[in-house]
Amino acid sequence: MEIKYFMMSFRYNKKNPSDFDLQKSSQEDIYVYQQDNSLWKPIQLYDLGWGKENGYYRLPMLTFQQLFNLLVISDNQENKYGAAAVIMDNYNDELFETCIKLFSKNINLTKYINVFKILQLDLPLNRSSILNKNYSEIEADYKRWNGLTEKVKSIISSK
Amino acid sequence: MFAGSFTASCGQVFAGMGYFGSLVSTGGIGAGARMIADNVSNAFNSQAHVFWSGGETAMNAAKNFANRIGGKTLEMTRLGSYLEKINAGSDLWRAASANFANQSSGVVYSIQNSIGVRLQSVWATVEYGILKANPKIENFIYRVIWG
Repeated sequence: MEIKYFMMSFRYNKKNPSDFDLQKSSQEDIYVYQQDNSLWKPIQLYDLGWGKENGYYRLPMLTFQQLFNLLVISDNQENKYGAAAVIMDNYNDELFETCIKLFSKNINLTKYINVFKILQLDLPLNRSSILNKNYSEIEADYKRWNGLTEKVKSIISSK
Repeated sequence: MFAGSFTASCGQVFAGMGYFGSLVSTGGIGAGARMIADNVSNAFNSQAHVFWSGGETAMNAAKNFANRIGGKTLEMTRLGSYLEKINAGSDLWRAASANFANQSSGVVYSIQNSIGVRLQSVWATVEYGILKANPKIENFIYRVIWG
């Protein structure tokens, strides 16, 4: 059975720690998963269309590469959407580089279509930070993300 | 007068039948039956529909607001309660949202979180477009909540 790294609600059907089988620990904001005594922390997770969902992640938080791998290989929806949410919130530059590397390899990318869709890379959005950047820098960021979106769309339509 | 009103009401019930197929195919006959019951009840006793977007805070605020004005949110309908009970997936909720928007009339309310409405939200991708094309809608009233 796959290890749980994320637990999340669906349309707010879970809210309290006990809904996730979690119990308060002696440390503030850290909870114990009663089935394996692992430690978990609250986090707002993937927006399925109604706003960010209630959730928890297993401590320690996975690295970007681990999160990306989890998103690609996991069969568990909470792991998949949880990993995607953290990537979309914190690792957009790393995500961009990873996608560019993937595109440069001579491999069949159709197995990544679902991953691209969960990450919403088929939408032309500037995901880079705009803080302390001038107009031309922001425009350049948008263009490179748009280029990535065009590539993703062509992969999706080639299936 | 009664005949005209009856015809209009039947029209309203059957206008929602387009969503019946997608509800039944994923949610079973239980979801379909509740959708029809909601549409029939709505045709004869229309309450203001209250939409929400932007997380649990918006959902709870919309529910409180609907209770205060004698309106209803999707979760307060027979279909909505049923979908909550069976832990329905996104597709079912989207079909239910589409039907709820299609069945709206008069003034509709939209409770939105101050963090903004995401482009891929159900409000932006499903509900708003149907409400905008719905000739029975007289007015939209937006309320922004903080949180």
